[in-house]
Amino acid sequence: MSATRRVALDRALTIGLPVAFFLVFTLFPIYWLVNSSLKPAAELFTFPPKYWPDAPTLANYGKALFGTRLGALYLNSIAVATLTCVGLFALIVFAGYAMARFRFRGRTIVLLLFLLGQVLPHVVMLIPAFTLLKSAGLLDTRAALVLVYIVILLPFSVMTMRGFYQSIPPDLEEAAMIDGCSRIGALFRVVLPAAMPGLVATTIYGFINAWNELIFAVILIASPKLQTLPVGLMSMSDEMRTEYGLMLATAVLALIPSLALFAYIQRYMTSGLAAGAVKG
Amino acid sequence: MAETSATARAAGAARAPREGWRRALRREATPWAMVAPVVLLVGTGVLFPLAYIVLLGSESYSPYLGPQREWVGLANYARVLGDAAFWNALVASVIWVVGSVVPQFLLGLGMALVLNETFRGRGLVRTIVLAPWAVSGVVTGFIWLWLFDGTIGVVNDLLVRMQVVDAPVAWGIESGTTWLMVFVANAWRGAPFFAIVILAALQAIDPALYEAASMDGATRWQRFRHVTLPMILNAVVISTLLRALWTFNFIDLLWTMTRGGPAGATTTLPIYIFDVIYQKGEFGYGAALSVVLCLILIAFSAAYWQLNRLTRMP
Repeated sequence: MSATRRVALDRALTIGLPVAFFLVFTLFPIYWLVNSSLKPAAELFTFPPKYWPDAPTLANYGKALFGTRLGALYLNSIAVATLTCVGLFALIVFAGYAMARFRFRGRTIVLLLFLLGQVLPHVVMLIPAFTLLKSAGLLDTRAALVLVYIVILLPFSVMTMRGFYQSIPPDLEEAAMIDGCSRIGALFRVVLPAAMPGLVATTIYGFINAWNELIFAVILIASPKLQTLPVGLMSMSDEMRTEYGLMLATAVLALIPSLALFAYIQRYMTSGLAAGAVKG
Repeated sequence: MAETSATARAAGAARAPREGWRRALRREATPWAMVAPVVLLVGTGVLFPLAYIVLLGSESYSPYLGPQREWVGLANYARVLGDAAFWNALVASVIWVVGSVVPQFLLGLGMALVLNETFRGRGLVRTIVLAPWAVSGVVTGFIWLWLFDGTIGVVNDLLVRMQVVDAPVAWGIESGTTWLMVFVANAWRGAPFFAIVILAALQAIDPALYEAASMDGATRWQRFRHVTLPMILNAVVISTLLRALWTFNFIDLLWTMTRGGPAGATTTLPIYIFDVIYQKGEFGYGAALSVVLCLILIAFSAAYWQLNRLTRMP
């Protein structure tokens, strides 16, 4: 066997084979979900199952979108996740900058607070959050969820933004300040444009987490019309236990935004976002 | 910096006390104005819950039944110790964490090592392989429940076709198959976390180290063992601890797939607490359980850290 052929074989075994395995392991469940969601009810319940639908149909999607409250759940989730992002964005622009560039008194305590905020179990926060929001009259409102999501996402987001700011050389804003810019002016005109990709990635990370969150949404929201998508999915699966096709289509529709946003921020994952990737 | 500010303050005090105070204030004011809203929010979100569960842990309080609260001392904690459901939940938690983190780590390490190589289409493969990280626990649970369905599921079909089993398996009926099912589902969603963290560590390794090792005639295994592994060890140790803590507290997937069943076999401690609070409405007892959960996590983290320190002694 020639040396080049041996190298090619070696690469096929050490790279090609594992890549194929990981791709199948990752993609097959999603393929199967989509495949099943396109089947009419008659095909859905055959065993052995069909690996390709005989008569693919979008009927399940039509029913999910127009025959259930899925549309309302979608809007709720979009509203909650978007407002969470807006709040996060406004807060971490400044807080991340302060943590990256200033050495101020109490900074260590603030760092410890953020660390504690990242490891504090959410289940421990359930009763206190419930009580606090109840006395504020915010129980069973979208605002309650937005507030809680901002609080639980802030520690990670600020620390991640701090990392992105630290990767920008301070000479940039120092030059701008010598040219007569104020500190805030330099932040907005010089630093922020350079930090924007990281800021957007961190915010989208927050969106995905808010979009996916379950337990606070279960505890803090009682009205079915205010439910977010994960909670609605769970209760719909109880209500419509036999409507498999409908539930599968609903799951696909819930999956799409998460995957689309992930594809966008993926390249930041191993650089900035991994540094503070405490939350799964 | 603390030193320079002290000197500046001393110098200021020697000249004009008010000027030094003002300058110090101005220096501190900008960063504090920037972090104050966040500190206020996170401080409330972290310190209030901790204080509140400690206080409420000594009370009997069920808001679904009525507003009356009663101080009961350590009665709730005594109840925890005698609560068979609590001990079952603790055992379930250990099974859940070990069965989740070990396969996630091994798969994630494999993914990271492969994705760190150069090959055509690597960018696309990376995006695909890491994507389950973004899928919610609820949807992941949904997908895998459907795949593992006992009567019409594709997993059974594949296992029968490959002659791994003779007849379809009734997944989720008893605890063994239930655990297996949720471990696979959780590995699917969780392996990308380790892949991302380890990949970041791999990319930080200086290629010159590998060149030097190759020149010394190191085999592939030796390069992994003596270059890669030591360089990623810190990332692995920290991310495994964080992942274990995070998995311990992760309810969504397990709850979606099993609701804690069959017969409470997969009711982990957080699921039990969730149950006590949400289904039974016992806030006092739920708070006491929350305090115990925090203590367990602190003890676990300390033990892990100590073990890590001891095993790394030369």
